[in-house]
Amino acid sequence: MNVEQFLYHEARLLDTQQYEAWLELFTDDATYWVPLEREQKDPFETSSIIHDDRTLLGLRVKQARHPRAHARLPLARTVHQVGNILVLKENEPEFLVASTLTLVEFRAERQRLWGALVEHRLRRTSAGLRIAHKRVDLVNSEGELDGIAILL
Amino acid sequence: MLQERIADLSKCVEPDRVRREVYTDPEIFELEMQRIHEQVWIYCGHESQVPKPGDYYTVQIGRQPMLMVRGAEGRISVLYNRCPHRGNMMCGDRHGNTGEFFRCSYHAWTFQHDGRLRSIPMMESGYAGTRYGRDNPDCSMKRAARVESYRGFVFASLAQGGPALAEFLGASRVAFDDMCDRAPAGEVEIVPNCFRVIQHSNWKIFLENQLDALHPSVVHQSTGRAAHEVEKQIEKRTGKAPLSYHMLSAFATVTIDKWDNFQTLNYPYGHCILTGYMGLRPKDPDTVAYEKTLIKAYGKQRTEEILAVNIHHVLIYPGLSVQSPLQQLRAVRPLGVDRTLTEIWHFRLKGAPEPIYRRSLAYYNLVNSPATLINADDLENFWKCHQGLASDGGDWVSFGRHHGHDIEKDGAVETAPNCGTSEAPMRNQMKAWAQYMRA
Repeated sequence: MNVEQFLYHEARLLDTQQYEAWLELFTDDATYWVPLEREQKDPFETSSIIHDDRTLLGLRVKQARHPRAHARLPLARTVHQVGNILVLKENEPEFLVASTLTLVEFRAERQRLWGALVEHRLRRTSAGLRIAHKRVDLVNSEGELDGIAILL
Repeated sequence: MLQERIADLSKCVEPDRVRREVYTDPEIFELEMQRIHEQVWIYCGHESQVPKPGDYYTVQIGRQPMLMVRGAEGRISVLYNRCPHRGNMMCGDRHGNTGEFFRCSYHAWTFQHDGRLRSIPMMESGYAGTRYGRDNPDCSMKRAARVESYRGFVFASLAQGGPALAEFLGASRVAFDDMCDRAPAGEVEIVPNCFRVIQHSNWKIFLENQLDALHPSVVHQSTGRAAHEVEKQIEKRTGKAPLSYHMLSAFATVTIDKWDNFQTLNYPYGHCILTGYMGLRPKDPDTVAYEKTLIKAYGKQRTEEILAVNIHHVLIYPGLSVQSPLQQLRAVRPLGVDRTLTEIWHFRLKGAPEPIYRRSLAYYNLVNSPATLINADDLENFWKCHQGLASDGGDWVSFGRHHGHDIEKDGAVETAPNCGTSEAPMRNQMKAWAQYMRA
């Protein structure tokens, strides 16, 4: 699978709510980061909207399936529109890939639109491409935010 | 219609219940802003947010857009964010540095950091013989009536009258003492930037939730259970799970009867304290190293006193909720009857080792971010609560849990033993609300 197809595949898993399969796309040492600040350099100088290792990401998926996960019952319907895919760096077996995300979410009679710049550090493994690091910079990360109960 | 409702406000609050209009009526909301938020001491920010002369941060007090600014001589002022000339907003950015003076982007009137008029372009020729000029206070940026700070936490009041800050805070000062005392240097420093979370609900719903010890086991059960499972798996694999998992799993493992072991303390002006603490004094190397820095700064006995302070939450009515042992606070900014902004800030303990900061940061992110497993479920319930109050299915919101078991002592109201899930804090807040609204 090439890089472009891989990112579409990831988006498809999220939009069809196959979160467990989505989680499998991440390496064991993966990190998943949604910074709070524009051009934030590291997750420790200030807060982060999400800063998860693979275990915490797994916790997110597990919680979403709990029958009393109030904000996720029912799960929102989403469309992850991935575009502007650009390989920034090739350094076998890893690739740094930039893309943009336009996300439409619908839940509880409300439709919301999100936009983000995304970076994936992908790693070629024996099982195929895997995500070693994903960074999602929401355009409104520093704005007033509603609860975010979806996976970006 | 309006007159009738105002006259009737006293009938909206009974000792153990409140009329639902108190949460849903836009006219009552306007009155609350006038009689409560634009009168009392409201938290503006921490001094370390504006370290250099000209640094400013905008802040909403009631319905008023304000800004907190550091002057050249170091003094902090709180000003209305408005040019006295034609009403232009002075600072459009949420925060920044204004330089040596404020300069309006419309007609270039300039002002000192304390709001005093500095210059108007061609003032002599343009305003000779008019009432406008440096001597007219109406040509300066208006200042908040009163500004005071306590241990670096800046408050402003838009009313001349009323108690001084220390008197207003009373016993709730422990929130700031506890937070600062836990720093070896005796003070805290802001972690730049905060979460700004919108709640689709009335501001009081959030405040009532803060000391509601019954809700965590219900609302956060899904997260607590998932975290508990993961914590056990990690422990099996590596012997020790990071503390952040324990903080999350506590939402499920601290059962309702255990929450009842905590106690609520309720004070004048609507302030409340929930004592009890989720067992966060572990013996890991990071904590041990941190306690050593405290002992070096304070001595053994004082360190023990500091670490023994047993607080879960302090609520400073009507605008602040502080979790001092975790160095975080939530400032409440009501935006409308059904819309509330919370600004959630995290602080660094000055002089404490880096791992202590990282640990509280992990907790802060996990619990407070709009994308967390905790806050998202609270936000969902706040919204549902406000929606439900629109219904004619009932006129009252009940605060009856353990009502009649409150103990009055030295001007404060304590809940009886094993009544930690009491709704006494909500009763106390509404008592203060009724007093303010009677004005």
